Order: sequence, then structure tokens, then C-alpha cells
Amino acid sequence: MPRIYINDWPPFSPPDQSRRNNVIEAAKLIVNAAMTAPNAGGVSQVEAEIVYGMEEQEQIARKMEDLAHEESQEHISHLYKYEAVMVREADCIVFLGDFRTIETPMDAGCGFCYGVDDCRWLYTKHPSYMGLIDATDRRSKTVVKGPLCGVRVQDFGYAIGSAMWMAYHLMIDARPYYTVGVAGQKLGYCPNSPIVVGILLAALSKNPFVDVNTAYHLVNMSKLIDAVRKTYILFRQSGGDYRISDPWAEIFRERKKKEKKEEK
Amino acid sequence: MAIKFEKLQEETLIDVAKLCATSVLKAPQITGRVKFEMEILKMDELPNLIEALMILGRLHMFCMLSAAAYSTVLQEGKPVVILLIGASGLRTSELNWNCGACGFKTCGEFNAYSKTIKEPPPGALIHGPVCNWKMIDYAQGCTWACATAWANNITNRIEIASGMAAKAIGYLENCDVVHGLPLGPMEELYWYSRRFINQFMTYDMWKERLQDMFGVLFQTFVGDGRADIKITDDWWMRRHTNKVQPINMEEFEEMNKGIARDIEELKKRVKGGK
Repeated sequence: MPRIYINDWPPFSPPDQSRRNNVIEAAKLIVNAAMTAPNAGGVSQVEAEIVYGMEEQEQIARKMEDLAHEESQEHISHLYKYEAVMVREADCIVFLGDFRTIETPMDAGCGFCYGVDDCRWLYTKHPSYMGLIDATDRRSKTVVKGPLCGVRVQDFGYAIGSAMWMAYHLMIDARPYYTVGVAGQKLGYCPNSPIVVGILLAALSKNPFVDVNTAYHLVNMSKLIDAVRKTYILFRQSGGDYRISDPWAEIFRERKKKEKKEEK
Repeated sequence: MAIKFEKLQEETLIDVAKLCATSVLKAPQITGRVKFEMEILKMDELPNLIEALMILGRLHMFCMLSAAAYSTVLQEGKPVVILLIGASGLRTSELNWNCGACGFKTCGEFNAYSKTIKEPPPGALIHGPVCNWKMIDYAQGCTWACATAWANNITNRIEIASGMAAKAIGYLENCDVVHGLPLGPMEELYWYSRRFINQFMTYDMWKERLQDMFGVLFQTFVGDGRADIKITDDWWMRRHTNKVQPINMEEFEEMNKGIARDIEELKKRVKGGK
């Protein structure tokens, strides 16, 4: 009878990979929840990508660290660095993007983006022709090339919330992140969306996205384990040869000597 | 003694509304800074809401659709309650992420502009502008409420219409954004495949709107250089055109003023009655 053995340690070992596979299956359902979330008029606008694997997660985490050092503001820089650790600790990442936030807005004059009852802010800040927005220039001095259509952003929030709801009900730990989304977008995930959010997923004994300490990029489980590896190796070399220094070996030798004496 | 369930329906919906409100507060947030405020509207408060929706419906047809939905359940005596989900603090950003999603280079510039929009114009659906990240968090709260209703087998649909109408007549007045989550009636999919629309939207009216809005579907040979569209079965006998015409802006402005005036009067009446 086939058996699936699951254990979350060591990371990426076959038993851990079995556990991660469960999360990947959950991620598919989580994306379904995002795709079926409420939205204005039922118009398709959300795209999603599921990303997992040591190399892929490392690439995203490194991108976040690059962004941390490009960022002039300390508090944002810290967000990138701390949350990069969480990307490494996650089992899987779901990227969600909304591809209608600039190019195909709702055109409802809702007031979300500029507080007025027309869409002038969007249409004057992005080049447009006959009411058609030309979104081909994707260069931007800001992280997000705003303004964005507010109704679409709201719908995007519904998608993220629905994804989170499904994760919650599947007992998968999850949190949505701005920083992960920015890095993912720059790496080409959800390529059609001007705004992307990254949802980190994990099914570990301890939720890796809560109870996070300050200086998390320096003080975290991975660093502590590495510190043990680094220091214990040195410590080991400072002791004697076990074949000689082991007190039980000495006791054994003494016992043998005694036995021989008694025999004589 | 047996209790007829019909008598318990409104009470049950209120119980579910409480659970939905609890979910709003439990929903995840990216910013962790959105403060929610909620109210539950019972059946006896629906007539004022319907009146407000009908006033706003002169500008937005979807408000008229909501008015029709609430009027129908009132006439049929089927309970519906509305969870109003409001949030404040969306019009300012203390995040200092300077992400640019709002179209301003910094949160400071956004905040300075936001202060200049004292009151939303009557046609606006919410009192904007809002920080995009806070709006996402607000929406996460709303969708958790929807999911809770769904999990409790209560048909529902998150609405801008009932939220904007309620706010316009004084409910959760100090919130930047208010959406309504109608819960009930206890039947399948009342808010989708909307049977009540048939009462005021005849097939011919619908067909006319279709041809107005999607003329390209009925377009004749474009090489003729005319915007002729096929309206009837014998379209070659009676030709129609889909000419682009400017909207009379004076009439449009006048209509907006009328809406603002009527909403204000209704609001005074509602406040007087509270």
C-alpha cells in the first residue's frame, strides 16, 4: 500500500516536499477563490501565478533584498528585508495581479481615485487617445505607475481577501504582502498587471508570518541554525579524540583491567 | 410550542450579519491600519433606503436595480437585512510608502490633495480619493463578510449602491467608504439572475439598450462609410444609424443638482425620524 511520509524537517527533504506538495494543491484552490471573488460586473481582471521551489523563492527573496537597498526610506527598506526572510520560509507563493487597473478602467466616475465624479485623473495622468489608454509605456519613477482605477483596486482587494479566506479555511497560514508583490512584478510574475500582491503560504507547526522580531533579516531560524553549524564545528575541534577522552571508554578499560586482575 | 420559521428569518439574518461583521474585523490587512465601523439595517429602515436609491438611480442605473431588489422583497414580505460596512482613514496615508499607486509621487502629496476634497460630488460613489493599499484592506474585510454569509447559506451581494445611498442619508456618515451587504432573502441567488428586473425592464427595452451600447454587433458593411446598424428583422427596409451625439452638459448638471437637493431633503427627514 502506498505511503506518504510527511515531516517538515529537514527543509526540502522528501518528507518535507510531500508536505509542500499539499500546500501547492491548496494554492490552486486559493487561486480559484481569488478568481471567483466578487467584482464589479463580473468582468475578468485578475491574473495569478503560483510559485514554489528553493531556487524560485530565493530569486524572489533576493530581488526584495535588492529593492531594500535601492529604497531610501529605512522603514520600507526594513519591510523588504524582513519579508524576504518570510519568502524563504514560505512553502509556496501566490501572486495576484489586476490587469485592468490602468488600461481598461471601469469608467464609472466613482470618485475613488481623485474624489471627483469623473475619471479625469486617470485619463490625464496616463496617455490616452479617444478615451483609450495607452499603457505601453511601463516605465515608472514610482513603485506603482499610478493612478489606478479605484473600482478595479477594490475588486482586486476582493480577490485577495477571497484568496485569504480560502487559505484560512484550508488551515494554511497565509499573509498578503506589498513587498513580495513588487518584487514579483519586477521579476515578471503577473506580467499584465500594474499592481501585484504576493501571498505567502505555509503549513508549518509555527506560522512563519507572525511573531516576527525586529532585525528579522539577521535574527531568524535559518540564521540561528547556521550559527550553530558555524560555531559547533569549531567547538568540536577544541575537544579531545573521543577514542581516548570518552569517560565511558576509560571506565570500560578500567573494568577490563580489573577483570583481568581477578582472573589472575 | 412550534415556532414558524418565517417569523425567525429576520432574527436569523441579523445573527448572520453579526457573524459577517465579526469576519470583517478578523480579515487580514496588508497595512493593518483600516478602522471599520458597521451598522445593521433592518427591514423597517428599507423604505428610506429605497427612496435614496431611486434618487441616485436617476444618475446610476445600478442604484435603480438595487431599489427594485429591495422593493420586491418588501412587497413579498421576505426579510432582508443590510450590513453596512464603513471605514475611515482611507483618505489619508500615514504609510509613507510613497508607492505612487494613487498617482502622486508621495503620500504627503496625496494627503495634501485629499484635504482639498471636502465633500464628494453627488455623482461620486464614494468620498475619495483613497489610498489604494488601504482600499485593498477595506475590500478584504468586505469579502470576508460575503464569504461568511455564503458559509451560512445566506444569499448576498456586496454593493456600492446601498452603501452610498445609506451614507448619503446619514448612516455611517463619517466613514470615507461605505458598502452595503444585503443578507437574504432566504432563497437561492436572489442577487444574481435577478427575477425582479423583469418587472421594469421589458425585453424590448433591453434590446434597445443592447443596440445603443453595442452597435458594432449590428453594424452593416463598413465599406459603405456609414454607421448603419441592423435593428429589425427586415433591416434593409428601415435603416437605422448609431450616430455619436454629445450629451447636454447643462441638463446633466441640472440633474446632479436635483439629486443633491432631493437627497438632502430625505436625509433631514431620516434624521428627524431617528
